[in-house]
Amino acid sequence: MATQRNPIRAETLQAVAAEYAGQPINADQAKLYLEYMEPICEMFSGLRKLPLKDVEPAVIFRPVVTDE
Amino acid sequence: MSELHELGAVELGAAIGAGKCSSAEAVEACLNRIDSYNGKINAFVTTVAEQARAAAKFADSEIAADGQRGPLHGVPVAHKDLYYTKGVRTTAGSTVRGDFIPEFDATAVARLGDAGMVTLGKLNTHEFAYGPTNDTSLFGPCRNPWDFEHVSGGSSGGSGAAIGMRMIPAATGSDTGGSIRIPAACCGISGLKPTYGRVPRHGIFPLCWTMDHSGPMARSVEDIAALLQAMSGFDANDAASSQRPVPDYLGSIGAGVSGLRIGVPNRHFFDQSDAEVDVLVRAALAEFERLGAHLLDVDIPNIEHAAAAAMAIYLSEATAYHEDQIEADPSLYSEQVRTFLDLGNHVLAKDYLHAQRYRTLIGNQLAALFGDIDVLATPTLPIVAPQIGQSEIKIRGLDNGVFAALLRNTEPFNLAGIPALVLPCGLAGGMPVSLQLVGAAFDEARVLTAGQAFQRATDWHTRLPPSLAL
Repeated sequence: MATQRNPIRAETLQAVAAEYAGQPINADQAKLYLEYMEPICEMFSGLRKLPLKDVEPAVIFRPVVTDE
Repeated sequence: MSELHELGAVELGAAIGAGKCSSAEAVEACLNRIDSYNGKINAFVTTVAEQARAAAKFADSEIAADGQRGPLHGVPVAHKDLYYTKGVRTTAGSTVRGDFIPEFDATAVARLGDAGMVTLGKLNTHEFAYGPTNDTSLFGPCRNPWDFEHVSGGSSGGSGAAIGMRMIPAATGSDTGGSIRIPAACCGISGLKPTYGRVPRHGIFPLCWTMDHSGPMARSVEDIAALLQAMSGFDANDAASSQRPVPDYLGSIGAGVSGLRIGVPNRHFFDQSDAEVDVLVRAALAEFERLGAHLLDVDIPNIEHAAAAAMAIYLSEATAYHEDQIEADPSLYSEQVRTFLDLGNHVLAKDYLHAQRYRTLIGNQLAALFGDIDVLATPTLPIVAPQIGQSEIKIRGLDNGVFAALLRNTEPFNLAGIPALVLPCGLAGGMPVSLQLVGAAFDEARVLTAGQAFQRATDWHTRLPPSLAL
């Protein structure tokens, strides 16, 4: 399941914030956030390598039952 | 009898019930303590003195006419400023909600009121509970009773500090990654994060819907049991609320620990703690052995990924909750919280779901482990309370971020949703060190029984901060 990834870039963070999340950040913020986000992404890579193939997420949908 | 502010919640309730003091006198004693000490630690952000005096007078009249409703009737309490309190400002420690006055009480607040407790006010919190130090708040940092230059821990810092400073005997807290247990540990008191679903979250500002827990904080395990009794039970307003019956916690805590099997993790918790913390927590475990418990070496596979899973969930859920407000005016948030909320825009859905799958994995592993042990024991924190503003700390010569270090030992049990009790077990450099006892899902009674046995045999939970011991 694990995939190789390239290090994240400040430009990517800035583009995602503006173009995808709709919450733009300036270049200085993007550089600062990069310092936090790269190690976080590296941590997430560890999750992708876990033996989760047959494991369902802890959040499971429950249909809402109509009151009788 | 000790001075009223020195009594625990159950002791104070017993004194009120026996006519040795009145609720009005207890409330006045606490208000005097708040007047004297709040300037030093910044624990209370709102007091409702006249409302409390009127409620205490009413409680005294009820008790005189019909007797006490229960062990907490007439006893003062205060609530984390994340809990809705009808007609009383509730800020979540943020300018964003600086003028918010709820129209109803959180379920836990209402239930403690139904038990007869008298609310004295609201307690400082890390902004929106999004941090473990409580040095980021609309009201400024909350300070540690043991050393005013150190953090109270958070996010329920006001609760920990006010109880540690003997302003109040008990308080509410909330815990998403450790926010009851971290300030309890830092301030030398006890605290319980119950099983997810045991205590309703309705009327508490969410941080992460799937990780938020409501629970009690107090000096003794006996008080924790009494508060948990009053707070627990099904609430149709909370989608995660459990319909399991609530056991008699207070009635069962005296059973002792003879034959209790205590699992001691062989990595992640002790080996990455400060050497002094390691020694003191192991000394606490030796005390359990002396009391008849058995210590068993255990391993928790994949525990090292807990921080990654917790991070994916904090960032995703908190950013989703705050999206409209941060778009409307990001300047209302502190820089630290705004940064976290911005970072949440960059978490992939698949990583959030891997984190939720990890919870199933670790939950199953821990459930299996509790077939072989009764309680799991760890240091609550690998360190003592850091200084206010400190962002890095050395543990065994290695650099650690303060936030990550504070959360390391507590957040795995938010992911698993299982109960975790913390209690003081020593002092390192004059600051409290804390033991964490973790139980199987809905087995609060067993961790409370273990904690009670420890507190009957030791006096760490009665130690006074130096500023009060003079």
